[in-house]
Amino acid sequence: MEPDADIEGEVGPLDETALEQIREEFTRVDGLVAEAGFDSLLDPTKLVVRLDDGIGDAGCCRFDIRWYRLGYYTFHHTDDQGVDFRFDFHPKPDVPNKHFHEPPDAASADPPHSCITVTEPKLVTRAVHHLWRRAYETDSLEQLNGAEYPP
Amino acid sequence: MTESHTTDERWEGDVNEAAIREWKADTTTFDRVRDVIDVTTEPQAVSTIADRAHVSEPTARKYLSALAETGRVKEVTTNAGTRYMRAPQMLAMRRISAIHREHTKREIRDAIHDLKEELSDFRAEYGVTNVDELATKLDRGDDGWQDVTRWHQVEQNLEIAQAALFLYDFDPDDSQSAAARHTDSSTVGEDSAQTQGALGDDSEQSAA
Repeated sequence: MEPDADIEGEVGPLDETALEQIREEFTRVDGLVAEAGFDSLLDPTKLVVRLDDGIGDAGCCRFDIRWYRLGYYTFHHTDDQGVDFRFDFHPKPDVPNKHFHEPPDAASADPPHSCITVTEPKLVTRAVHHLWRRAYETDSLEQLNGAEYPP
Repeated sequence: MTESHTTDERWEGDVNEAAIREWKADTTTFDRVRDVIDVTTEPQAVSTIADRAHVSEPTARKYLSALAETGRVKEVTTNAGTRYMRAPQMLAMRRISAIHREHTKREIRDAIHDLKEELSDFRAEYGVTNVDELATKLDRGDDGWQDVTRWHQVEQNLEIAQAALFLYDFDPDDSQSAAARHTDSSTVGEDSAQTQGALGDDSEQSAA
């Protein structure tokens, strides 16, 4: 699945400065980050963050992250078990701008509200990481998009 | 660090509140003002920036004017008072410098060629001369938005690549080029914090 395909409105170009902040923050908050960088210097399309372990049976996972000039973003998770989900904020008719594409395949029909309400790149990064790490340590995808814990 | 808590304690409460709490615990007020202004692309009031950075208004004002003096922040005077935003050229210079350092002249020329071709394909496909014309033609939910996003991206990359190519003319012995030094390509802008001043100088030379 191509995350950009979901965007239906003006978001601007990628904001490399915001993505650089996200790279820095993700690396800072989790020792499992094996690698974090842009896919290309000359024609960057996303920031890729690889982690050395994953939720449940997954042995590794990856976040493909895009942050746009107008403050919109997509944080797309995938792992070696084929579990995909995505926290999004962008224009999309008939669904909330802040929405969550649910696992296991980041389903695109009727995505529910994302539980992430913070808006700064580093805060969104911390929130996404918090939700991922909680699922990782509790070994469950059930509460992935739940702001409150315990639910 | 958060790792020291037990699993249950660590996840208790609201994720957004936790993100803010931990961000504040791990940073200084200066760090937060700088992070917030670095991603501010439209002029904003000090009070707005202070709220976003979770600092007091006098603290935000103090750091913003200091950052404006270094050239990292742009100060805009309006009837309603002083507004602040990031200085676009300062941040573009980080990327320009990284590309100049890690790519040869030929690689940059090839990239420019490809990007230009992509732009002319878009113009031909949609029968418009620029991306704003295309955006005006589209309604919410239309398929073309993906191409609008890409078009913006190609234009941005093209400007950066052209500036990086231009920089070669100001480095006659190629001392900073990819041919002379090979570094990890995953570290866009990593050195920027230390070399801000030097990058600023390069920018002035290029523009001259």
